[in-house]
Amino acid sequence: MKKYLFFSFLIICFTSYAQIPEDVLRYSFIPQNGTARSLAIGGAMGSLGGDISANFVNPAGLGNYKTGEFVFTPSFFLNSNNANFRDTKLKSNSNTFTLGGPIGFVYGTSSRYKPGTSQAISLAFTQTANYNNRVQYSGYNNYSSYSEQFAEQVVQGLKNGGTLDDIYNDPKYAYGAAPALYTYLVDTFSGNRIKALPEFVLESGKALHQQNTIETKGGMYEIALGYAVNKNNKFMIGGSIGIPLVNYNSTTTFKESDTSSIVNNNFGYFNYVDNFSTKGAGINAKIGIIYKPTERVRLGFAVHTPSYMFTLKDTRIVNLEVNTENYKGIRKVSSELFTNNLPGQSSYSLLTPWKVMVSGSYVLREIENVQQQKGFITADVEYVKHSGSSFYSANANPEAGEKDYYSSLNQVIKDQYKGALNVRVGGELKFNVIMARLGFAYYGNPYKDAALKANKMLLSGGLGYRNKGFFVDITYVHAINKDVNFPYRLADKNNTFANINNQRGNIVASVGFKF
Amino acid sequence: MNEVTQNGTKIVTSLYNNFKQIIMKNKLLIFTVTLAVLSSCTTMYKSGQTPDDVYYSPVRMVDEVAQREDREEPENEQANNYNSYNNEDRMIRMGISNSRWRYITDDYSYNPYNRFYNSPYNNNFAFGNNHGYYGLNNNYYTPNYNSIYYSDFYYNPYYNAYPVYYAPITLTKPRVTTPRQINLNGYGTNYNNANTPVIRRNTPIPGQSSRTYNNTNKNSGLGTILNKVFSPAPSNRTNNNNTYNNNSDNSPQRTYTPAPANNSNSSSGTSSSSGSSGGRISRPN
Repeated sequence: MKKYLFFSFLIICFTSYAQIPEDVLRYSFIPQNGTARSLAIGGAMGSLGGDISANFVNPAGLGNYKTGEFVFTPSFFLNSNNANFRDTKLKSNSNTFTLGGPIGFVYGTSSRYKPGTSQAISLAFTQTANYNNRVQYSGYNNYSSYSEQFAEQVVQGLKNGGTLDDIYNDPKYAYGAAPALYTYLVDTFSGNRIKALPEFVLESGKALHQQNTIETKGGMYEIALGYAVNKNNKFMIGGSIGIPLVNYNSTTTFKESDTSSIVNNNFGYFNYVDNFSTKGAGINAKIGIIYKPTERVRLGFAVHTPSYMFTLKDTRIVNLEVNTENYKGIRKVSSELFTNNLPGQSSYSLLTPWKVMVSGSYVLREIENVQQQKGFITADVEYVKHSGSSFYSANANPEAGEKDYYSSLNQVIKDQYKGALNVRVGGELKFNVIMARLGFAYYGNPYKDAALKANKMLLSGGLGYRNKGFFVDITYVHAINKDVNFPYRLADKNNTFANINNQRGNIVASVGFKF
Repeated sequence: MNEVTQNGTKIVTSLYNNFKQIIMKNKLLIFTVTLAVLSSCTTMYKSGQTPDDVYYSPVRMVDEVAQREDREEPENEQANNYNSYNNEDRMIRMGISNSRWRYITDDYSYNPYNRFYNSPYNNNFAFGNNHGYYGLNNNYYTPNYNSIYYSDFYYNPYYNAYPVYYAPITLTKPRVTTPRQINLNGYGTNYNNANTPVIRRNTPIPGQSSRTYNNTNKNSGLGTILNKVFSPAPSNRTNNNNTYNNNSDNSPQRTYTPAPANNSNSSSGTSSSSGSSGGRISRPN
């Protein structure tokens, strides 16, 4: 009973502020997904319409429908990652099958009592981000240790007369300082110093070997209900309400070891395994217009509101194994020891950034006879303000410390990230019932600091067949992604990061039926 | 997943998991049926050209008058519906006035919740409890289920005419809402992405024995980043000295102010836990 009272006390006393700035890119630095046809033309669907992907790009494009169709889009991802960490290169692969693109229907109709006006409604589900990947990098480091971040936390925890016991019993430190102290990876030394044992290896002038393996799974999905009106095939306006769902799981394994063969320097190795997941849902809206000033030309404009992810919940378990050789030998501990033998959880809300898009297309020709439809070219330019993301407490009355953390976190997001331009272009050649397509997309660097190189470049091509009320499209998208990964952050030292070059192949097929 | 807190204990039901399992098991069946149903929809364009809505979508008229006519129900059908609703209303009213009318069904089918059968869920006679119970030998929890003895003649806002089925539950301890946080002062510092010129090790790095190390921040843009000032996020941010030297003299000294003597638990070289009680965690020696 005392134990329950004690933990109830903990729940009341300890704030549940959480999250790190990098989390926001998981929701905003992602390429446009869509049907195989849409992906083959780089995802440039902003002004084109007539594809179920319009639900997620520019809902006004649904206005092109006066018929009905059902479509589903399975896909297969092939990941290949090349990482460069402190001048050491490493390659890793990961492949996965997914029901990736949109699945759903569009129903378009016209009324004889309102000539020139048609309307369409659509319900679709798609994967907006695929998190399945495996990145690994390793290298020698004679400058800093992963464990120093725990030493920093211990210093913070001992401020204002705190004790080591206070740290073990504060869930705030359950994933870093507490396990590190518990296993003697970090300890107190003469002169009131806090040190991580690998620091002694660094101070002796030797290097540590570091290896980071990040396995991620899951995805972000969206259910969209779209509606559009078409006036005289000249002006279309539409909107969609989306329910984004996120299911993200990651296992990060960081290994650090002494590179010397000395077995009595009080540090052999440690393995830090971080099992983390985020689940939740939200709501967003998209509105757009398409205007056809002349035959063959289409201009589009769309706005995506932020997704208000109001039910996000993180779950986390950390396991630490440390070999301090003669100091304390091999010790293991799980963060659950410090979180009531249960995975730690934190609930919060997230607001993703606004997105604005302008687009144009040239279509040859907009005519009923399929044999005279020859092809199109299309382009979208999109602006996303990555720094506009912000986290909020899930508590109705957040505590002062919690409010301060979120305020600081959102300020760091503003300082670290910036707005980015994304460009998508593509085209199609149509030969009666056969179509060939090419596309290109570029997603700009979200980091404000020019030293951090990140972008996504997608090259795509595909074929389509449409006949007898049935259509099938097959596309291959080759993505060349650059990003950086900081294995740890130190406040009182320079930080190190890995450059990640990811090449991702995506085979997508869309199958649909007209009705 | 439903979570109910009672006496400081969270009760987690796995209704969602059960639903997920059913979906997973029947995924192939659902997929096949969907495909078959939708394939049958394509008869409209079996002959002739299949429209491509990206280029041009042919007009498909919907006769609104015909639609309205379709929506109108025949009089006898309306009457049947009325009688049906009327009968249902009457049964509800009878049930409210007297409990013995509550479990009568038209087809006399087996109803596991019916108190007239020997049902595993029918514990209301045995317990006669207004506020739910924890069964000693079962995993079912009905927080608002009421015995008929206490609910027939008094207004009870929690009364359910039919018992609510709750999915199997597991009892868990209070979950600690631990944070995932990071020292935000670590953002905006400079970078060190290369090792110092000489790594003094006993074992060579494979294939890199002749390597020379660049001690500059290769991502810094000719050192301009050395003096870069980042806008501080937390108010207590301290800028580091922007050096890239591995000399231990330049390493940060992390110190603390010890707690008062009777509360201190650390010592030079080793640490020991203080005498803790009440379930507090201590570090083993």
